[in-house]
Amino acid sequence: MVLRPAPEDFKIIFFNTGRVVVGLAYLMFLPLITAVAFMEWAVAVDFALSIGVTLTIGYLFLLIFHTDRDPQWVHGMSTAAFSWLVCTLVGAIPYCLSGHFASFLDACFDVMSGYTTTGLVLIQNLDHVSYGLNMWRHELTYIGGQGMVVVALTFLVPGFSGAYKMYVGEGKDEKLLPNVIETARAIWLISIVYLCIGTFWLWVGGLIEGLTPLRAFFHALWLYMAAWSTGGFAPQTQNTMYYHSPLIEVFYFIFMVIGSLNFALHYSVWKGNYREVYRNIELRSFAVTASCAFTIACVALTVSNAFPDLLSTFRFTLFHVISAHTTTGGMSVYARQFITHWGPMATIGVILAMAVGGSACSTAGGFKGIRIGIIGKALAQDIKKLVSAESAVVIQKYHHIKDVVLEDTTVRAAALIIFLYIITYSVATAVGAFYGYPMLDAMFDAVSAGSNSGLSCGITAPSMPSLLKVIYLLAMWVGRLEFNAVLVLLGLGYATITGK
Amino acid sequence: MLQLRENKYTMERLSRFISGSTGILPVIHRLEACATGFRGIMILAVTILAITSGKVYAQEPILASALIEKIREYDGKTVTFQGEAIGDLMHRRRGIWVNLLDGSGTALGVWLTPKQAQLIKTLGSYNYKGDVVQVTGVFNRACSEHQGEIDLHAASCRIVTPGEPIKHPVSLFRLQLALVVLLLAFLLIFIWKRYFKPKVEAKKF
Repeated sequence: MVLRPAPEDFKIIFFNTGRVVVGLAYLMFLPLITAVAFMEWAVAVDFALSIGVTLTIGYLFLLIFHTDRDPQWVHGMSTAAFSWLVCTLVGAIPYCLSGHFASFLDACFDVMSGYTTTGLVLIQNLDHVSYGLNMWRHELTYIGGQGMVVVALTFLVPGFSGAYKMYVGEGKDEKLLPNVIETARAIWLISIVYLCIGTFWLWVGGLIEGLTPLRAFFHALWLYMAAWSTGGFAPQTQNTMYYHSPLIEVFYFIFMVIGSLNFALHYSVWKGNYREVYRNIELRSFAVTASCAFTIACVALTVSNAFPDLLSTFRFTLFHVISAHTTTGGMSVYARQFITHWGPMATIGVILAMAVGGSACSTAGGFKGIRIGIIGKALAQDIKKLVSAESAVVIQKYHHIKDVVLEDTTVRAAALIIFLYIITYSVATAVGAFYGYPMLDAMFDAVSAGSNSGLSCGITAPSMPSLLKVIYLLAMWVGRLEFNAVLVLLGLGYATITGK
Repeated sequence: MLQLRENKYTMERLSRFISGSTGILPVIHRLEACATGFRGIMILAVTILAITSGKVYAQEPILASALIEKIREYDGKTVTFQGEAIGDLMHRRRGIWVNLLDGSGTALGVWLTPKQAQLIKTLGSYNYKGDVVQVTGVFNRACSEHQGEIDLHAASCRIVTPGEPIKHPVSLFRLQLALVVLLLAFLLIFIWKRYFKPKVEAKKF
């Protein structure tokens, strides 16, 4: 028998969602300040209005659903999933007011794409977007990379015992430090330090490549935010291709790889444990799958004579395979080039890289390296069992920060999540194919949305069918939250309808 | 295969002739010399065929999306492209990059000489509509000079429409609405801080 949730359960979820919404309102001050600094007064008014609306909604949630009860697991997970939906709606207000979107759905799509660090965009006339709105776009993806709940926990909420449950609901479960607030702050410390380093080097790159110092600074800041958060946004339509610069691509490449690594790994290295870099199962898994995808794409492009020389082939293949694998979505070719220029085999290599994705507890999406590593280890364990004596006990271990004995429950959990990702990719592909897109094209953008990659072969555009936009939006949402939080929220909804 | 090569060769010569990158006399002499034999007849025939079938890409401005869709077909051909100069003029050692945004919303990187780039005065941004520039030049799907980038090397460049400032008037309605909702928000914050805000301490996992 399914028990119907009590009204108090919803109060806890809405109350904590209110906290996250209030946090989002405070984040809107940065684009407001940027707009004022550049005397973009119309944009400043839009952001003032958005802040007012968001604060009002947030505090109404807090006042109406006020409760002193601490969230349990079901509340924490549901809050994480629900707050992302509410934040998508309110985060779309500045987008909608800007006039750069054909509809509110398009605005919501781009906000979800930002939060989930996907990078698919439906924005129009991006090359004429204000500094203020560009700051908001990139801030969204930067915040989304760390996790909005992490942000709220770090700066806005003084702390409560349900914090960890919301934190896990957002797809992160690493305990860098004993306290969840301290863990969230450690994640931010790592991110801010890299922000300074990354912005500086990309700024230098911009200056060398002919940008003015001020524009070079803002482009560097935004590109860094996009690369580190594996978001893939850019201030210009052409993405990284705009700069015509291998130097900027190299810096971008470095920071998207670093951003796709597990925060626990960062923290371990931060604490001086450098051996972790080559012992960690996720990095080993990443090296294997990235090499496979790179080889497939590189051979295909070489055979089809897509580029004039080996160096060019290497440059474009490596950048896009790693951009796909880290689920960043930075592009230095046109979307349609994957189909018209790269050909099916190279495109499949990129799709495989997107599907696998980066590390768990990072800013990346996809299956995650640790799950692929675990499945690989389980396979090795089974083969060992087959070739060993019947009485032999085969123990398999893997290294992730510490040595861990591989258990069946771990393998089952990893396989289940991978299975759910495959279902997500398949459903989104099927809907694309239903609308008449070729199967490879449909698969490319579907996997990109579900794995939060952001590469596109041209399907994702304002003119695409609305249902497909909704499907991609949901795929981004469930992919980023890694299903658990969304399934709990859906379960809660089901229990509300059918429970007794 | 031979015919395809011949066709490409003829098209390149024709393209250069149209773009004015080579003089007319050497081309005529070459054509006259070729016309003495079967090879020359074939080239002439292919040239006429190309002209009559409308495969002269350099006359009407083409959209970037069309270039990308038939990327191998247009590779190495002289095309005319028109678009708004956006963002930055990026000065490099041997030339200048500018990105031109065409009518379909796709921008293409164009490689200019410093003299050509001097014509561009206004670049598109939030505050400005950039100069609309028309360039004729060779389209490369993977430029060997620029490490495999897709680009257009301009042979000629002209300003079609000069750029102009874009006005963004502040909406009085939005301003008034913003003030109202901000006041409401401050009132709610006051009520929250005064009567509801819980005093909680950070707890362990």
